[in-house]
Amino acid sequence: MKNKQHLQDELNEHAPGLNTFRHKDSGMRVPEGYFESLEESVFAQIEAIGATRRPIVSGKQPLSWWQFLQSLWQPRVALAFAGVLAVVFAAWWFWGKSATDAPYAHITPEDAENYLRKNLMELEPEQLAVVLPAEQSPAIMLENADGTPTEEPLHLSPEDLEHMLRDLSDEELDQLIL
Amino acid sequence: MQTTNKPASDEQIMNLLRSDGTFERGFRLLMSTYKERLYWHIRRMVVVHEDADDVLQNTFVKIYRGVLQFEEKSKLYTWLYRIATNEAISFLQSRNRRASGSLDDHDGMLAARLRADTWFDGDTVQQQLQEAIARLPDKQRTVFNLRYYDEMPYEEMSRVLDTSVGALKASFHHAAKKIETHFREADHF
Repeated sequence: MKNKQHLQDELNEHAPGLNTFRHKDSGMRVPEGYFESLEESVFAQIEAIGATRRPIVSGKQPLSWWQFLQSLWQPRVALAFAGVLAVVFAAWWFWGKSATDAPYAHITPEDAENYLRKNLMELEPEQLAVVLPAEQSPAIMLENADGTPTEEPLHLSPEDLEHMLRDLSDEELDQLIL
Repeated sequence: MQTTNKPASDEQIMNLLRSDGTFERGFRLLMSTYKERLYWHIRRMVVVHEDADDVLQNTFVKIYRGVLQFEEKSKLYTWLYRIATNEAISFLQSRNRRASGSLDDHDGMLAARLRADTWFDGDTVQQQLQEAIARLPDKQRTVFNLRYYDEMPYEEMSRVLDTSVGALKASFHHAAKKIETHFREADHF
């Protein structure tokens, strides 16, 4: 009732002429008995096209493995899955190739350590400074005047380390590094 | 002629539909409850009885297939109107596409079909009104019919057409003004 009044007010405001024949018959007709036979016509069409009803929706039930696998057969999912596989394969091929192409890619950290041990005396202090990364090199403990270690380790810059290495004997260097 | 009766509640219908043993009875009840309302909604959109009959039957087939997936987040009739509206708009669009190859006047096509419809026997005013409505764009005609004939509240219409209430109000006022102008020009007021 409230809605009817609202509609009447709307029409009075914007198109008052339409209010005059709002309840007039539209003039549209249907064949005699149309609505009575409609249900049978619909069922006949359902049977003719073999329409089946989709199962009840139950959003709380998780998918079974079989339903999950079936869902993968949908074209959109399969396409997306194939796309992801293609990207993964391309990345694997690219990085795998890059790794094998790198000249020292096969050298393990153990190999590098052994090499340093064997060839320590052949290395220049600058080379050792480069080998020791800046964030690892500063861990040098100094001694106080009484021979006790300082509370805090001395953090050295690469330049400081290079100068220090120049002044070390081979034995001291050996002890420091290894 | 356009009588509406509602012998069953939505809850009764849905309860019957949920069980395999009573599904057909539930679907028949759904059809008998809503067939006339849906028919007139579709008929006003597509104008001609034969087209309305095709669209209505397709609508019921779609409802048959999908009614168990209706999640009851809205009223049943809102969901039914939505399917019927989409089906009618798809029908009109496909007919417009078919006609686009010819030199048919799209705006006047429905009006011409109305004049040729054997199941229309309105007087001059009814003829003028239906022709003016038929000349509205599809979506605007849908909004006008739902409001003017079905007196559907805008909030409900918003759920059926998935359009904001503001846009629907604007659409209805625009349509009503166009029809009013059409009548003034024809000197019916």
